[in-house]
Amino acid sequence: MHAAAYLGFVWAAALGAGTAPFVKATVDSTSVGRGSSFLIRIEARGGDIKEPEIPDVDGLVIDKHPQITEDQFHFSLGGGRGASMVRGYVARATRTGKITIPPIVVRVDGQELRTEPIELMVTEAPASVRPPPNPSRIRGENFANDQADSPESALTWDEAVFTTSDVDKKEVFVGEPVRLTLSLWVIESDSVQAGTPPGARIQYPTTEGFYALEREPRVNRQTRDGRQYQVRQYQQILYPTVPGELTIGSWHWEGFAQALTRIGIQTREYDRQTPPITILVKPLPDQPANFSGAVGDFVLEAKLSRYETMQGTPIQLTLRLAGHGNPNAMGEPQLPSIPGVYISDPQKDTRPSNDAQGFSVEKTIAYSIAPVESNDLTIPEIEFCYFDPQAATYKTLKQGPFTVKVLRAPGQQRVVFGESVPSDKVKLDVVEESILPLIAAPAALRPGGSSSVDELLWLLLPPAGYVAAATLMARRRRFTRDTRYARAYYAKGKAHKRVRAAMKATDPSQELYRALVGFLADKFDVPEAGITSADVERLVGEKGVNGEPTESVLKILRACERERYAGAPLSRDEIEALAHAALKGMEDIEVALRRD
Amino acid sequence: MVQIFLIIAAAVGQNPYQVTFERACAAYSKDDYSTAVQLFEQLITEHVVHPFVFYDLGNAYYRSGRIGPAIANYERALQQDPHFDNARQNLNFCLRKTQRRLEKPAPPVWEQTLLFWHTALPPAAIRNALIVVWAAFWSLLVLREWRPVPGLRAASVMLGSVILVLGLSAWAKSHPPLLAVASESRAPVRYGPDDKEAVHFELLEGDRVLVEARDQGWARVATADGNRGWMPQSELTLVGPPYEPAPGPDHAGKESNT
Repeated sequence: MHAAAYLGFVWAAALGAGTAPFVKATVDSTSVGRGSSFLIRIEARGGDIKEPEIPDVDGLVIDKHPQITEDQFHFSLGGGRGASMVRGYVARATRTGKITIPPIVVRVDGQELRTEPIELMVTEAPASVRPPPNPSRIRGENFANDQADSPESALTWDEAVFTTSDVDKKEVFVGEPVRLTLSLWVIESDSVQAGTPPGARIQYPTTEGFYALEREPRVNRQTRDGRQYQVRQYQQILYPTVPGELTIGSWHWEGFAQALTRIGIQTREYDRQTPPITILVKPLPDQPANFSGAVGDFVLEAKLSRYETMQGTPIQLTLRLAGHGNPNAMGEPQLPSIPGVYISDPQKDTRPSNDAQGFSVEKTIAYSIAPVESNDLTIPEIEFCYFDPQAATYKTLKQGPFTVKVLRAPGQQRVVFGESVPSDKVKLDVVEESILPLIAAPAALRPGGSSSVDELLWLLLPPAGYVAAATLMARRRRFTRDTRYARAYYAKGKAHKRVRAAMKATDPSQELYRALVGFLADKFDVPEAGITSADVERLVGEKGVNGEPTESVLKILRACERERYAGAPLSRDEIEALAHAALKGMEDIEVALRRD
Repeated sequence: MVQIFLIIAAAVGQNPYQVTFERACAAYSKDDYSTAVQLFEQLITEHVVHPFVFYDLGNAYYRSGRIGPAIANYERALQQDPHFDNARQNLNFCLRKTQRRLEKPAPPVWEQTLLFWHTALPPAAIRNALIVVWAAFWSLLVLREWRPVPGLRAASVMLGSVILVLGLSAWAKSHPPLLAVASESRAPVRYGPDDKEAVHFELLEGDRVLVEARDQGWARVATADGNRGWMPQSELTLVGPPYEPAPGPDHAGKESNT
């Protein structure tokens, strides 16, 4: 596939070599802001192409030295030769309003070709926040800042891309976190790209004597020496484990940068090293007996599931310790020994997380405590001692004591726990080996089982609901699709309404006539307009509905027709009698049709 | 009907099952274990199925010196609530008191393979999940009738599959292999359902066996180690369901000395 595309391209290029000379000028935007730069691009094709002649334009400053230079030569299969050329010139508008770039002359194969004129609209404000099209101008090994052409603003390759490493503290206590930040600075520009070779990974510096945790890299923008940089930061939180002078090694970064310069795209390889950093680690002051080993900033919470229980029925004590510190060295609060209770193995859950201040840890320790005796149970104060490096002192967090009311279990003076509980994990007060006590408070008891009526009902309800819904929807669909059915279904109700309305109408006999005819038209699915008594006779005859119902309806219709054509108005009583007869007739016809 | 009765009873402040339960607990606390057993058994005869009742009945049997029915009732409690730690603890305690500590017969291989995930789930949880998925399935069908939405067919098929699996699980939970516990201190197991048949092996009180067949008061039992034979049903306490009172002599009133 690719080979075919390539051949096609070559063929097209070969054919193109013989095409007519051509020249075109474009700008990257016809709406620009005063003082902002834009690019004029000129393309030409032919055999022998000369450099474009850039005119002076009122209101524009055009750098007549092209910033983009592309030349291509190609040869046709027939032996012909062709060329194409692209030139890009940076221009800047100096006044607002409409500015016309006149035709630009390019000599191709001896002919003087002219581009189409270009109209620009220059406004006071910059037309867009897009960076300038040509941010860098290489001058030997230097960049020039695009915002100014002065030589003192020249930017070197080393200024375009560089690395730094720093720490937030240089003097800490053992265990106190140090944040190491490794930054890769890249000048913010569309035409400068920097990176590491594919597959290469960040190599953190050596941190002997520290326990290191990595954080997610992040990217931000910073200004340095008046220039905007994109800074990619790699962070490690370092916990010194021994006192003394510890050294964070050099950070070694290998990468490359590419820049679009006057002479095309240039690539520069980098091999950077930051200087090592020395950290002074002070030992912790004399440690109290209850020191947990944690260094940082912590909070302790304790929660009891219930403050009243029964002998042998356990309650849950949950301790939550949270804060900033080394998750591997923070220890945990210890539950003091409590006589006369059974304490389960603690269930522990540690959740480290990464926030703006560094690494935080939340540790949860849950104990199941079952009182053995019915006396009130007192869980003594729970302590957690840690070293606060900010205050350079030890702090002790305390929770409790807690008092739990213990009710007597039925049939038991004393609850005991069997040998299945590992003896080294629990504090037992065993008087005899026996079973656990009764449990005396189930929820409201009731007979039940897998075949209960409730469950059967729950199983039957959904399909019943489905059947009802499906029937309803099938009916709705039939009414929508089958107009014959719908007309016949609603015929009687509709006709009854019309008969009732006829009684109040100014021309009741004709309304009655229309109601009756409408009913029959709906029932037989024929157009209502223009039906006469003769048509009705024929229709009902075709459907096989004969006899008294038909005769009765025909009589009513004829009576109404007589009234209309003979001009002899019917009395109120006659109308009511006809209406009554019409209702009965409709009923009879409906019954007869249903029977058929 | 029962519910109406319960509502009326609740309205006048009395739940008869609760009253029986409290009387049973009171008897237990006065060391009157035979009465406690009788009252707890009455609740079970009245189809009150609750893990606490089975557990407490197991305790009452244990205190009465009948370790076989005690084990059977702890098994029943665990059948209803596999996470019932107190029942598991007391069951293990009682099993340690048995002479042989015979393993419990394992469920059939198909159940171990297909329904390995439901072992720790109570039957009620599976039933409730089944009802929810069942309702969701039919709701999807209604939705399909009302408005065709892409993916409904796949969702219906998926829910249908879940219903099949949950249904199988619920059925397996309500029809577990019939477990029984020997309730006599020594129970001979014979080659056939007749007293004249030779004794094949003996069960000791508290040994758990699988009941494979029942015939005219005899049960064909199988142990976890593969032994099979016939023994009178009266020497077994069936774990169930159905939940039947433990047969055999009443040793109530004395503390276990096993």
